[in-house]
Amino acid sequence: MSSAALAVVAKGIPTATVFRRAVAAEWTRLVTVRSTWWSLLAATVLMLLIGAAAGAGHEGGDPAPIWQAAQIALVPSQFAFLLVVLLAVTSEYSSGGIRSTILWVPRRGVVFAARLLVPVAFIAACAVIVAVATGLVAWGFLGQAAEVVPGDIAVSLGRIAVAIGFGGLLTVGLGLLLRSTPGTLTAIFLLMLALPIALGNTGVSGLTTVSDYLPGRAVVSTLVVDEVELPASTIATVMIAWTAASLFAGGWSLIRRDTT
Amino acid sequence: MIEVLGLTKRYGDMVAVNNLTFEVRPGVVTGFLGPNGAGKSTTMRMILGLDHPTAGQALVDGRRYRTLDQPLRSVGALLESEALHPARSARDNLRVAARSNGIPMSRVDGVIEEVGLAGVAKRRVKSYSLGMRQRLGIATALLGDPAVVLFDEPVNGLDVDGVRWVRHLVRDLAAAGRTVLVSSHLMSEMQQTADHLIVIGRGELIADAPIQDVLARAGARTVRVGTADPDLLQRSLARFRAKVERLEDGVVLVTGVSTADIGAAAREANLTLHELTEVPESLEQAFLHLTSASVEYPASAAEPEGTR
Repeated sequence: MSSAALAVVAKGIPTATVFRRAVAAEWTRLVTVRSTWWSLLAATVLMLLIGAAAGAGHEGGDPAPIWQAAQIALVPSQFAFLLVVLLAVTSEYSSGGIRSTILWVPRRGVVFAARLLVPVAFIAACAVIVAVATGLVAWGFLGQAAEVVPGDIAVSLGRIAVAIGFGGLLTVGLGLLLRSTPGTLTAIFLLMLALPIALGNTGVSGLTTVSDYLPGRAVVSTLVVDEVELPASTIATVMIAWTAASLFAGGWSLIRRDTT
Repeated sequence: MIEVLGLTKRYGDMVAVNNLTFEVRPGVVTGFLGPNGAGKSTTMRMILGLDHPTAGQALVDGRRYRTLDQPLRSVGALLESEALHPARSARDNLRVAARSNGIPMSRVDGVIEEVGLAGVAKRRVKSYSLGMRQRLGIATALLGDPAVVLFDEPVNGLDVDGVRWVRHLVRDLAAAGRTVLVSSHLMSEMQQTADHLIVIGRGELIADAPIQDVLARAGARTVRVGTADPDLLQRSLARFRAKVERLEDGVVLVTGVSTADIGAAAREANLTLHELTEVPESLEQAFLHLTSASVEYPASAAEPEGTR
C-alpha cells in the first residue's frame, strides 16, 4: 500500500449517509441472531392461538368484531414482541458487543437514533402483520358470528402499532439505561404488567390513581377499548411522558457514560 | 499518528491514568508496555472514544475518534476484552462492521481469508477458541484498511503459530507506513516486535524512547566474572559499591560496574580472571527496574499492582 493511499482520511461524509449506514448495520444485527426469530415465532404462535381461542370460545349469536380479537391477543403477546427489542439492546452489554458498536459508529447520537428506529419499527411492522393473520383466524372460528367492518381494520392496526411502538421505545430506553437483560426484563414486567394490576387491585385510591399513570394501563387502554376509563388525551399524555423520560435516560446513558 | 495530550482518567479517588502525554508515529511498531492494571487498556479505550477522559484528549490523525464518520477506514482496533456478539457468525459480525462504515462486502471475505478463518466463517463466534476470536478481532481491525492500528494484547490466547503470525503482521503493518500501537504486559513480546516503547506504570509515563535506549537507560549492566578467588574479587570491587552475587564454580555476577573497571580492579589486586562477559539485559529486567522506580512517584494514588 502506498503512503499516499494511507494518507487519505475521508472527510465530509453527510450525517444522512452516516445514519443510513448505521441503520443498515442495525438491521443486519437484528436479523443475524436467532433470538430475534425465536421471539417472533413465540409472539406469532401466541397471537394466533389466542385469536383462535377467542373465536372458538365465542358464545351466543352476538356479532364479534374480528379485529378486536387481534387487539386483545396482543395484550399478553406484546411481551414476546418486546423481547426482540430488549435483547437487541441488552445482549450487547452482556456480550461486549456495544464496544464494537461504538467503535464502528463513534457518533453516539447516530447510534441512538438507529437503535431506536430499526428494532422498534421492525416489531411494530411484525405485530401489524401478525395481527391481520390473527383477525383472519378469529374470523375463521367465529363463522357467522364474525363482525367484519372493513373500516375498522385501519383503526385497529393503528392501535396495535401505537401500543407496540410505545412499548418498544420504552424498552430501548430502559435497556440502554439499565444495560442488563434481567434488569430490563424485570423493569418492563413491573411497569407493563405487575404494578398496574397490583396497585389497581389495592382499592386504596391513591395507589389506583398511580396505577392509571403507569405504562401498562396506557397500553391496555389502547388495545382493550371497553376498559377505557381514562380519556384518550390522558392516555396520550401518559405515553408521551413515559417515552420521553425513558429515552432521555437511555440516551444519556448511551451518549454520556463510558461504554462499559 | 496518535497524539495523547495530558490524558487523565479518574474513577472517584482512584487515578487510573494520570496526565499521560505521548505520540505514536507512523512507520514503526510502538510497544505500549506496563504491568496488568497499569492503565494501558483504559488509555486505549480513551483514544478510541469508548471512555471519556477526566482531562486531556487523544487525537488520531489530528481528530478526536468520536468525531469520525467512518472510523474503520482510518483506525483499526483490537480490544483486549470481548467485543463481538457470540450468537452471530464471524462473517455476520464483519458484515455489520462493513455496513456501518460503507465498506464493500467483498472486503469481508478478503479479510476472513487474510486471517485464516475462511473455513469457519459461518460458525457462530461462541464456538470459537480464544485464538480464533483473536484472529476475528484482528480481521475487524483490518477490515477498512486503516492507516492507524491499535492492538490491545494481541497475542493473548494464541498458539505458537498465531504468535508468530501476529508478530509478522504487526511488523508488516508498520513497514507499510502505518501507525502501529501494540500493548502488552509481556516484556519478551515487546522485545520481539517493538521499535519504540512507551512504558507506563500505575497510570503514569515511565519511559518513551527507542527500545534500545530503554534497555540502556533502565539500569546498570550486569557482568559475569570468572575467577579462582571470588573473595578477593569482591574485596577489590568494594569501592564501587557494586552488587556482587556469587554463583557456582567461582563465577560472580557484578552489577553496576563496567567490564573495564572490573578488569582494572582485578589487575591491581593481581587477580587472574578467566571470564569477563557483559550479560545483555533483557527487557524484562529493564522493565522491572523502571517500574520499581515508579512506585516512589508521590502523585500516584492507585493501589500498587502486581508487577510480578
